[in-house]
Amino acid sequence: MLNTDTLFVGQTAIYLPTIDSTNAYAKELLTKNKPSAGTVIWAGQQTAGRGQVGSSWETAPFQNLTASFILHPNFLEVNQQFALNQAIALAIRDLLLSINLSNERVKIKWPNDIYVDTDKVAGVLIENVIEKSKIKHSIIGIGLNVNQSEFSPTLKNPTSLYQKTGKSFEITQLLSELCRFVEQHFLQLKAQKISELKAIYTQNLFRYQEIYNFQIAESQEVIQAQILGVSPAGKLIIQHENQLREFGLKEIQFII
Amino acid sequence: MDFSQIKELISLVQNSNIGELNIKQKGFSLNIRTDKFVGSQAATVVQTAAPAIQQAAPIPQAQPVQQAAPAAVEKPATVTETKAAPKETAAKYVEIKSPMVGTFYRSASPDKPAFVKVGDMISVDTPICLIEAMKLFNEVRSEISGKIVKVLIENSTPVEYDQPLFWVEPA
Repeated sequence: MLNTDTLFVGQTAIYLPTIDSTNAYAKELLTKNKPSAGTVIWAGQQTAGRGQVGSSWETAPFQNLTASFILHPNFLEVNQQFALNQAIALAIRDLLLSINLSNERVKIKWPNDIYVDTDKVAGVLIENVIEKSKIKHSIIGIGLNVNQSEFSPTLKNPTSLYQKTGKSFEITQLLSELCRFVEQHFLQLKAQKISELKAIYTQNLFRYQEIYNFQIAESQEVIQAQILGVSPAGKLIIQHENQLREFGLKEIQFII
Repeated sequence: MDFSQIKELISLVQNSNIGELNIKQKGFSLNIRTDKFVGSQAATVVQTAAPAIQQAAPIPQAQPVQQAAPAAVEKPATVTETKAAPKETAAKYVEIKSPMVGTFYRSASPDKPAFVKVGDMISVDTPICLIEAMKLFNEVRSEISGKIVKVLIENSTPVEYDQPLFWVEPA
């Protein structure tokens, strides 16, 4: 079981050897019981893990960390929800720093993938329940590739902690640590330290303030531009030829 | 409501199955009729409402106004500023508005049925749609009880903050 010295995150942990999706399980749990804030559902194997709508999250059984956290960020306005995303990305980043991956190597690829070098090691999928214009519940699904040594060639740029460090890790131990970092950043959010979170998030964005190629979805045009930050709603702000432009999720692609 | 909003509304109505749309705001009312308007049978907006309530309503004027209109049957979309009765029809419904900017989905995932459809009874806390913004998925729950009489927005299209999503006849 989890050995974590947190106040609430991970104090209730449900381990499921095999499950379709930990997020789906968490959602089900919310409709039936009243799981306490910080409840963690984690799985040895996910058979239908999800990324974005329609896309799946592939993971080898018992080698990776797949967990969903149930939180109740009812202090956040609906339009502040990108801050939750930033808090979680930073929690995963802290976990990677704690296993001695360097600040230079661990980056957040907008909006919320975690990269080591130019490879994706973790993804986040957040599902909120909105009632009366407040975020009543939040299910935060995190997938972190840990001990997997090989990936399907169909995936673009996957990696794992094992590939990047040459070491294997205890998943329960990583998860216990992750609980601590999630709690830390969640409490920061609760204390309304949103601008602090945003500043660290921005500084650690993948390809922040460096000139790279991006492809604009609508025109298929490839432009050279640099990332300057994100808007409060989470849109990517880039500078291209002395012009500032904002892009939503599927409107721009990194060329990696 | 400004001119461009009116224009947008007209094209929205034209591209839908709506025969007639009445909007009333403070000091302003708008009536749009399309070639799909078929006199008193313009049930989309008016008569799907529970008849009981219509009879009980102190101003059952929707009826005469619509019967007066069959001349308009074949007309393309026309806009007329009206002062009288039709406003009562729209006023009967409560709009559920979007709590946020994002992409509107009617179901939790493409292979799932819609959360709600026209005719469904909803109550407080019934999930009514999903709005995605920057990879955050928001299940929006109703704040009111009643019957869905109209879905105002297409699946998988962008929504603005405060944009009307559904018309609900309050229970």
